[in-house]
Amino acid sequence: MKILYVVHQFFPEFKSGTEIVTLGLCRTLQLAGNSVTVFTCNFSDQTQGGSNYLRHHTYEGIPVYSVHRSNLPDSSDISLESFAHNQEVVDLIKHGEFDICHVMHPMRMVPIIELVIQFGIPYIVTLTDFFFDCYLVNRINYQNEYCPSSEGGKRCATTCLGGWDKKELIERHKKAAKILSGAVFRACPSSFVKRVFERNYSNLEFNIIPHGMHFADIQPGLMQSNTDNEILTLGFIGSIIEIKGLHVLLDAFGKIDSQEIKLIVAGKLIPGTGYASNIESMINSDDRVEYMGEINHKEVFSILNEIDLLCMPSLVPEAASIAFSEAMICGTPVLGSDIGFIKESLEKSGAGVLAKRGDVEHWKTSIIKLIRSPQLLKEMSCKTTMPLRVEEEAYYYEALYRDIVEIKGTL
Amino acid sequence: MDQKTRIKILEKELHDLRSHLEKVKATKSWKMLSIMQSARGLISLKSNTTPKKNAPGSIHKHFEAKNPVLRHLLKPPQPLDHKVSVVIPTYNAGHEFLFLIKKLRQQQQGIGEIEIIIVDSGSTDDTISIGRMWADKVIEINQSEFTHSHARNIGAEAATNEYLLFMVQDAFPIGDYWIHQLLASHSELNVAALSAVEFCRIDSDWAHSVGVLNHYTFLNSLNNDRVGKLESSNHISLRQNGHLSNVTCLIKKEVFDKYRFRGWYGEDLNLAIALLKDGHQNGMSGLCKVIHSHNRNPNYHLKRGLVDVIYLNEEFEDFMDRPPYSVVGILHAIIDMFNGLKVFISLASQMNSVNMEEFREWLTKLMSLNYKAAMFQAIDLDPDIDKFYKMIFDIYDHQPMTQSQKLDYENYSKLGYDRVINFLDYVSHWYSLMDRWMISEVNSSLVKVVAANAGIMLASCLFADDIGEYPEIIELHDALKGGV
Repeated sequence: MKILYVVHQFFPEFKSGTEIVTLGLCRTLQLAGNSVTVFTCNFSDQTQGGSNYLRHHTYEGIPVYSVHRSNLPDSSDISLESFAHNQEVVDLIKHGEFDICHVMHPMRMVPIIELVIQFGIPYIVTLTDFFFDCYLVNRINYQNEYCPSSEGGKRCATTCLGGWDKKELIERHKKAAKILSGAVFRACPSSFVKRVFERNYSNLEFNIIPHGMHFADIQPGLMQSNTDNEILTLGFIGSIIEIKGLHVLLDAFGKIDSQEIKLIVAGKLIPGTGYASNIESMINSDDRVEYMGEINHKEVFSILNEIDLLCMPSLVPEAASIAFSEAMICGTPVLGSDIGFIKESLEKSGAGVLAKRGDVEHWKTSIIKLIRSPQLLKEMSCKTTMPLRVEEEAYYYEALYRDIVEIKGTL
Repeated sequence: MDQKTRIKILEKELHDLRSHLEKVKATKSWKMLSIMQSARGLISLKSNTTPKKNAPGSIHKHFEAKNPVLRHLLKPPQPLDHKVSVVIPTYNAGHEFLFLIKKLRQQQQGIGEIEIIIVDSGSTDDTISIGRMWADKVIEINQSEFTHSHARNIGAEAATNEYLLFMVQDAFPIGDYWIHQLLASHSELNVAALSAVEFCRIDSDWAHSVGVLNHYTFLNSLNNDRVGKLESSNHISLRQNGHLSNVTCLIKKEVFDKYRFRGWYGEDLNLAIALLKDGHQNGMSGLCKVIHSHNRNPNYHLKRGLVDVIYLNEEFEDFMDRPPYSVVGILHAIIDMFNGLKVFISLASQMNSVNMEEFREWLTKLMSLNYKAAMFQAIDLDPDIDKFYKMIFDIYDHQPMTQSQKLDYENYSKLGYDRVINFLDYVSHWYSLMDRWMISEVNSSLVKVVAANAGIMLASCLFADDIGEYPEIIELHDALKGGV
């Protein structure tokens, strides 16, 4: 099969969740005998070939076509608007002989999806976050409240108008509905995402295909569990940005007067921001906190085995979480915010406990409770279940593509 | 041949080779391609194709997941009441063994009962402690006692359930209803035993991945379930219809107990043929695959190529159409393949990027050159392979070949050449443009492909009329046979 992946950004410039999932699918499905191509947007074309408009390069063997961000309207980071690409892009989609298109993220990519529709290429969508239904992406409105439903864009026009015209928000929702309804299949990485989209697009069916984890990155020796029971080691792994809530964890941690705990923080801190300065001073003021800086993927497993508990104090509902799933592989329980994917997963498995989103006092008491109950940690560890591995996810999608292409062939 | 004459020949051969290289370098295709030129890849896409007519809307009206494994993910099936004993021979299974065994435990929700039996042959890592924690039975045997058949037979003897599922320590089920689906297919397909097509891991090397695609294409089951029954006694028909693999093999215990595994190698194929000959059917599922692949060094590919041919020749009388006339032509073919590979790798290593079609064209040219086996060129990518290659070079006497030896040379060169081209055909299907990362991947995989070819060729030497004159080849064969 010849598969086109459409994603808003890609390696080597961007390396976050959606890009990791896309790369994993591409590499695994190439090895299964398929031809894959990624279409994306680039922000820096220093190492790329192709024409001035449509750039072409490969990343770890994956053919990538991209258009520079400057060629797209400024608003395409938040809108779902149509705009014209040049003839090269049209020809690529029209004559590329793609059997199927997999939309990994629609940001900046609506014109490509429209070309895919125009040329009769069947497509599926994976909802890696809430962008289709929430231009703020994370479903937290301007009042810092969780927004369960856009109500066809009407609620966005009420609580998150910003610089938008009300009609534009309604139109954005209609465009999202049109693209989603044109997809042969809509995949969600978690039951939480499925539930949210079913609420907002009640006439459409959504299914769950969880993201797969890169088990092959776990090196020998990394699965040795921490045997030091004297000290409870907490960990935070992820981007150090406000919505991830590290400040809540550090604040709560700082209020606990105990030398029997320590906290390992790993993730990229963007210097020069007020938030980064605050975090740095909070880390530096507590000897029990160890900052590892930005780490590579293989080091994640090393940290997960060193800690007793992964803390996920996110202030926004996560659609899914790679760090969470990797903690499950390592048998590491999770203390997480009571919102989104984390809440649903922990309630279902019992492999961790929940603390109130953004509530420092509640985080503090939750940690103290765990310090006093080592047996509880062991019980939670036993309840961790194996997430999908990337090859399983790739197999499911390949089977799906194959079923769709087969049906197309019979029509 | 005296030393002086030999040096003269070598010098001439070297000169000829250099001339060839200069000619290749002078061609338009050799010029470095900048990535900017890669728009040609786009032009090639502009073939005479017309837009596809079906609107996607008409597809989703008809869409329904047909693949059973996918269907079970979307909607979990009712559990089956069957009880299964999983038998896994282990030896230093590594850290990923824990993942397999935990994943097997998660299969419990789809079936009545699962019993996990580990037969370990002297592991020194955590395999046994993982087994004791997660498996139902851990049977320890001495390493000297191990054969593929014996270890599995011991596990089967200890099994208490209706079904036996043989697996390997580095396989991995897809989804939590994988055993459920195997049981369902076993029943629906009405087979005595059922195996699953392999789905390669993300870190599989390309040589292995192409091997997997070739193998299951040969078995006609790459993406579909297939039932085999006895059609003919020729080896191709028996292999295609027998088609069992112990990476995954599900069989009722009462049936297995009548046959058991036999032999030092290829015990799964041996069982498959015994079942066919008794009127049973065997199944291979391309719909319910198993995750399994390797990323092994070239020396393993060499050994594997050798052992496969020896085994297949023992198992099937008609495996070899015609034994080779002489060892000479085969050795010459091995040396030429390595020489061609060495030249190709040294050229390819200088490239930054290249269009895949041109890449294939260069290799085709280089592999088809007759280097007359007069030069030793270390590959420099694997010391074991260089050692092997040097041994072959030293054994070969560099005399002009007779007519029959030339015939062997041509036959075996073609066999090796075809396998290399087959590999490149797959890779060129995946990629239109090669960057340095990919060139490096292709180079390391080509060493494995050529090493496997060399193993096949070396095994064939054993059946040549004049093998008695080459005790070194017999010794080499014995040394390489172990560890597969």
